[in-house]
Amino acid sequence: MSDVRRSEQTQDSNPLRQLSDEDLVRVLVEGNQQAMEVVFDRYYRMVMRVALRIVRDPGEAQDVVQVVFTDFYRSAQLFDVEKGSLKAWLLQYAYGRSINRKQSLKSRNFYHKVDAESLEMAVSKSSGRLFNLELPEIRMLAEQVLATLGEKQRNVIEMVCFRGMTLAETAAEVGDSLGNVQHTYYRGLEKLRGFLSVHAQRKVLPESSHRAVSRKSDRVEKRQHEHEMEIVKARSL
Amino acid sequence: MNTRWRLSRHGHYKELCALASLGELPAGEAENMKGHLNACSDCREAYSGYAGINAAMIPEQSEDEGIIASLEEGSRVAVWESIARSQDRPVERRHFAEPQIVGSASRLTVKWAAAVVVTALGCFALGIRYELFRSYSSLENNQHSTAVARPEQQVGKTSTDQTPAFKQTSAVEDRLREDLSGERRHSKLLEAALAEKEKELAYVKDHNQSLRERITAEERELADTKSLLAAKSVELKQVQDSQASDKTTVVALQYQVHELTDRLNSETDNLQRERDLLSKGREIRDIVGARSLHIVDVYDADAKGRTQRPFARAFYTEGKSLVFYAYDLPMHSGDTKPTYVAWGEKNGNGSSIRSLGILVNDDQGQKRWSLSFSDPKTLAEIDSVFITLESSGDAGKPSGKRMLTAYLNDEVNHP
Repeated sequence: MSDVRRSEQTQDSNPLRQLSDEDLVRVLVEGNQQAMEVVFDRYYRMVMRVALRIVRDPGEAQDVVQVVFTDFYRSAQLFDVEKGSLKAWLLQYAYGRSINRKQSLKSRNFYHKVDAESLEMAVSKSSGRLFNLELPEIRMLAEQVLATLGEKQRNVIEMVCFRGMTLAETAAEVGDSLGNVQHTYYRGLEKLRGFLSVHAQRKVLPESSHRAVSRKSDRVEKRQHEHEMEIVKARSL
Repeated sequence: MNTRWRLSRHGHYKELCALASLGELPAGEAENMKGHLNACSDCREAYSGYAGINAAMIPEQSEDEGIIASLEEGSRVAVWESIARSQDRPVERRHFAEPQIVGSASRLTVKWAAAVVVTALGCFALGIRYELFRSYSSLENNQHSTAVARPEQQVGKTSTDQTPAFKQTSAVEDRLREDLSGERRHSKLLEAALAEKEKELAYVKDHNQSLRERITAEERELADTKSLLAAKSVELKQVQDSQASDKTTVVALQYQVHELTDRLNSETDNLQRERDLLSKGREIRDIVGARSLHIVDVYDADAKGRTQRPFARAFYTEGKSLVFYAYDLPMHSGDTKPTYVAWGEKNGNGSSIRSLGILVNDDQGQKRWSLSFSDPKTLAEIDSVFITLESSGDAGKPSGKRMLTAYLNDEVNHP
């Protein structure tokens, strides 16, 4: 209860909490470190949920969360709203870091952990935008595609993606070999990716909506700037 | 073939991308993958796509919400420390969600520190205002002679300049005061909760203590019971051992009894034999030593006067006893064995015939038949003895042929 009361107080008293993700990042880049606090409060649970689901260890998950937010803080100026929302950016980043950590933990006894990280670096050359779609849209479309998959593929995808089971656990559950389950998973996931790619290519925003969006963002930016000046003056006093 | 091989190989790498997006890349494939991804944009796109889909499909609620909440403050502190280290300077955290500090005393210290900071800020703001006011006042004094209108303008200008900044400071002060009163209320609630927990802890400690005492008492009782059980077990073993040895003794005694019984029986038989022998011996002594003993040997002769094989010997003690021995009597076999019966007679009178009994084959080796008769009254009424072969035993009257007639009234053999 005390945490709720405290967050209510902070909600009331911190104007930064009213900002959108884009404005928050801009304020952070301009040097207002309190914006980082707001980013943390807003997305800690999402990042920790992803990390915990993948690495399955609270200590390791905490490390991943620390890395994600620290890296974000250091590279906040590289964030580009055109490439996707902050939420999607953090989600993908958290996912990638968690997979890295998981792979590193798995391979710790066999080869240098740089090998696992180098995979992530190799992939970083890709575009970084996920099918030009928002996260809820991706989720909804994925569920629609799942319904069209064969029973075996659907079961495997649901167990791995929704229930967070490993492929070995899934193989034991369905009574099949690991190799078969790996292939089934790949086939199902490839179908999902193919469908989302096609859907993303068909989705084109009309020009009028572009202009409306930019006007709105200008007004918000101006109001936010004035508000920030007041805060900066108060702090300097 | 090459194209097909390349396509199938490419498909293999895409499958590896799918596995890598789950963090389940098989051991030893990372180098291969890295090399391929460097060269293949299609696989890079595929990997990003797979990872993005996996990330997007993670449910927004999970069973780990409790764990996530418990790790929040620790993660927050770790992030801030990491950021501070990366910048090599302390990070300002004058803000709205203080990190969780363990222990109510530490929390209270933070609250009071916040109150001190607020007070200092307020004083500083007031001091600034005063300085500003003073500086503008001195400026007004210095320029009074040169421009009369200017001071008012400057004051007006100063007032105009001061107002927004002053308002900002007041707003900050108000916010900080609100925070402080909120923290004070929160602190009171925490203290009440702490007192409650301390009461609970004291109760639990007492309960623990009484449970420990009960456990100690139960352990003592258990130890006593164990030692009693051990003693009883020893006693039982002793009883069992003693029972076993008693059994052995009983068996030995039974065997002894059996042996003694056999010996007794044997001795009894011997004694009976001795008695019989003794009795017989007495009889013999009586016979042999009798003053009026008649010893009569009897032979039968056939019509031509030849002596037949069977013969008899009678030992007759007048008025006392008669012992009649018959030898070599003809043996008969068959289902109905005839018997030799001895008869007494007086003066050859058939009506005076008395039965003396059945002869017994008492010595088959000697083919001897014997009869002992000791009724003096009957002996006084007879003067001769003969035997007959009867088919139906002692019927009261002789029916067979007379044989071996011994006369008893001859002179005594031993005066």
